[in-house]
Amino acid sequence: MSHTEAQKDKRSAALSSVFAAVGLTTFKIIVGVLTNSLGILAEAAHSALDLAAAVMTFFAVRVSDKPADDEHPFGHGKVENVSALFETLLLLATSAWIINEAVHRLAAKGVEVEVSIWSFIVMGTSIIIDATRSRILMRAAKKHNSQALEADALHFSTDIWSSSVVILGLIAVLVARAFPALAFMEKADAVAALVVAVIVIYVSGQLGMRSIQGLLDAAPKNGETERIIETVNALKEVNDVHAVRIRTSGAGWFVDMHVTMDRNLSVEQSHKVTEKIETVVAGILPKSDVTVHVEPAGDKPGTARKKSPGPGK
Amino acid sequence: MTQQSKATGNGSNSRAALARYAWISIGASILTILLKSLAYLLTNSVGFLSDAVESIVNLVAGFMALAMLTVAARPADENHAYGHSKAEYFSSTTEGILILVAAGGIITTAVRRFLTPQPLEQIGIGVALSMAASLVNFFAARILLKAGKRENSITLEADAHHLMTDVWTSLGVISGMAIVALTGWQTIDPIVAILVGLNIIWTAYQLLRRSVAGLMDASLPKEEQKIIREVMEKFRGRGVVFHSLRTRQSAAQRFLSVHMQAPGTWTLHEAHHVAHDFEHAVRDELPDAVILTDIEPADENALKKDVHESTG
Repeated sequence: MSHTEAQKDKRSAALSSVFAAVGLTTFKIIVGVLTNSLGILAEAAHSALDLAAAVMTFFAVRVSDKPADDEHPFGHGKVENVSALFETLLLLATSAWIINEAVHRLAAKGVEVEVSIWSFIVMGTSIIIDATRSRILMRAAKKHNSQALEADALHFSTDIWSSSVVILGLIAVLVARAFPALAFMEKADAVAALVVAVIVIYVSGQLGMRSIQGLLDAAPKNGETERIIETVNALKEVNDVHAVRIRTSGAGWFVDMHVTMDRNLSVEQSHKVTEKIETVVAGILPKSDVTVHVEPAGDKPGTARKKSPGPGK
Repeated sequence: MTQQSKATGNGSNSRAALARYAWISIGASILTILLKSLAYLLTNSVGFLSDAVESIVNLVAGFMALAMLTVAARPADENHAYGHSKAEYFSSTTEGILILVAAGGIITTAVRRFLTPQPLEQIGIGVALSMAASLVNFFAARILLKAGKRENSITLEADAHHLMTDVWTSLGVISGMAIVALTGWQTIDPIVAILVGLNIIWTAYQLLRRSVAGLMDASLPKEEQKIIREVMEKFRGRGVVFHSLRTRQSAAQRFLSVHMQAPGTWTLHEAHHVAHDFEHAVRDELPDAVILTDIEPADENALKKDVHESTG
C-alpha cells in the first residue's frame, strides 16, 4: 500500500469514529430530552466525551502523517504516542469515576433506577455502533502500526462492555422488581460495573505503558538490536559495530550506529558499504531511517583488525 | 562518553545530584502542610484546612519530580539506548497539568466570591502562619528555578513554578486585603485573584508547550540551530559540505544528526578527521550535544551547492 493510500486509510478510520460519535451523542441527547431521562442524558455526556477523544485521534493521525519539517526534522510520528497516552488517561479517569459511582450505589439503600424501553434501545444502538467502529479502528491500527488508532479502538471496545453491563443491570432490576425474592439483583449492575472498571484499568494501563515507552525512545523488544549487530558485523568490510541505537518513530524506526572500517578505504568505497548496511537493516526493521557513522580502524584501540561478533556497546 | 556542561559535569553522577533539589521542594511542602494545619487548628477556619490538603498535591508532585530526576540521570542501557533524559518531560507535563488545575480552582473560587461577595477573613495568627508557609515556598521556588535554569532541568523549573502558585495566591490575598483596607472596595479581592489565576495559566501553558514539544522530538531552538549552521558553513573551507541537519532536544541532552559530503577520493581517515573537528567545534558552542555524522562521497557540483539545502 502506498504512503498516501495508507494515510487515507488511517484518516477515514479516524473520521468514521468521529461521525459515529456525533451520531450517538445527538441520538442520546434527543432521546434523553424527549423522555426526560437523567440516565440517558448522562449517557449522552459520556458519548460527548467519546466524541472529544475521537476528534483528538483524528487530528493526531493527521499530524503524525505530516512529512518531516524544520520544526520536527524527525517527523511527527510521536504525536500518536501522545494521543494514545491522553486517551489512556481519559479511560483511567472514567474508570475511577465508574468505581466511585458503583461504590456509592452499593452503599446506598433503595436507589431508584429508572427502566424504560428507550434505555434498552439507546444502549443497544451504542453497542452496535461501538462494535463496528472499534473493529474498523483496530484493523487500521494493526495494518498501519498506529498507536493512536489502537487507543481509540480500545476506548470503544471497553464502551461495549460497559454498555452491556448497563443492559444486564437494567434486566437485573426488572427481574428484582418482578421477583421480590431476588431483590439483591438490584445491586448486580453496580458489581458488574466494578468488574468492568477494573478490567478497563488493567488494559488501558498496558497501552499507557507502551505509549510512554514510545515517548521515551525505548528500543524494540524482539532481539532486533542483536540481529542487526550480528548481520552488520558479518559484512567483510566491517571491522566492528558498536553504539547501535534504535528508537521508534510513529510507525517506523530510527536506527543509528558506529561502524569501524579500514582507514585507507576511500570515502566512495566506505559509502558503498554503508548503503549495504542500510539494506541489511531494512530487511530486519522495515520502514527504518538508518544513519551509519563510519570510523577509521586504528583510531580506537582494538579496532585495527576485525573483531569477532559480540554484544555492541 | 561524558560531555561537560558549562556549569557542572553532565555525567550521570552530577545529573543524579540534582535530586537533592527535589528534596528541598519536598521539605518545603511538608513544612507548608504543617504550618497550614496549625493555622487551621488555631483558628478553626476551614479555608486553612483545604489549603493544607492542597499542599499534599505539592508534596506528591515533589516526589514525582524526585522520581523522574532519578530515572533521567540513569545512563543509557539496552532498553533505552538514547538515555533516560526524556523522563523529565513526564514530571514537567504532570506539574503543568497540576498548575492548570490549581489556576482553575483559584478562578472558580474568585468568580464565586465576585458573584456573592463575602467579608474578608480577619488578619490573625492563621493568616500569619499561612504567609510564613508561602515565604518558605518562595525561597524554595527560587532555589529550584535557578538550579533548573543553570543545569537545564525542566523538571526543576516546573516544580519551581508549581511552588510559586502558592506564593502568587498569597500575594494576591495580601494585595487584595491591602486594597480593601485602603479603598473599601470589596470586589477588588476576587478580581486580583482572577488575574493571579490567569498569570498562572500562562506559566502552565508555556511549561506544557515545552514538554510536549520535547516529547515529540521538536528541533532545537532557532538560535541554537543558527549557531550550528554557522559552524557548518565555516567548514566549507576544509573542502567538505555539511547538510541535512536534524536536531532534537531530549530535556538536558541535545541530539544532532548531519551529513558530510567529502570528495570520494579522500580516505576514510582524512574525512573522519574533518568530521571529528566539526563535532568538537559544535560541542564548544553547545555542550551536551550528541552528534552523529554520516560521511558520503560528493561530486564536484555538490561541493558548490548551498550548504542549506535540506535534501540529501
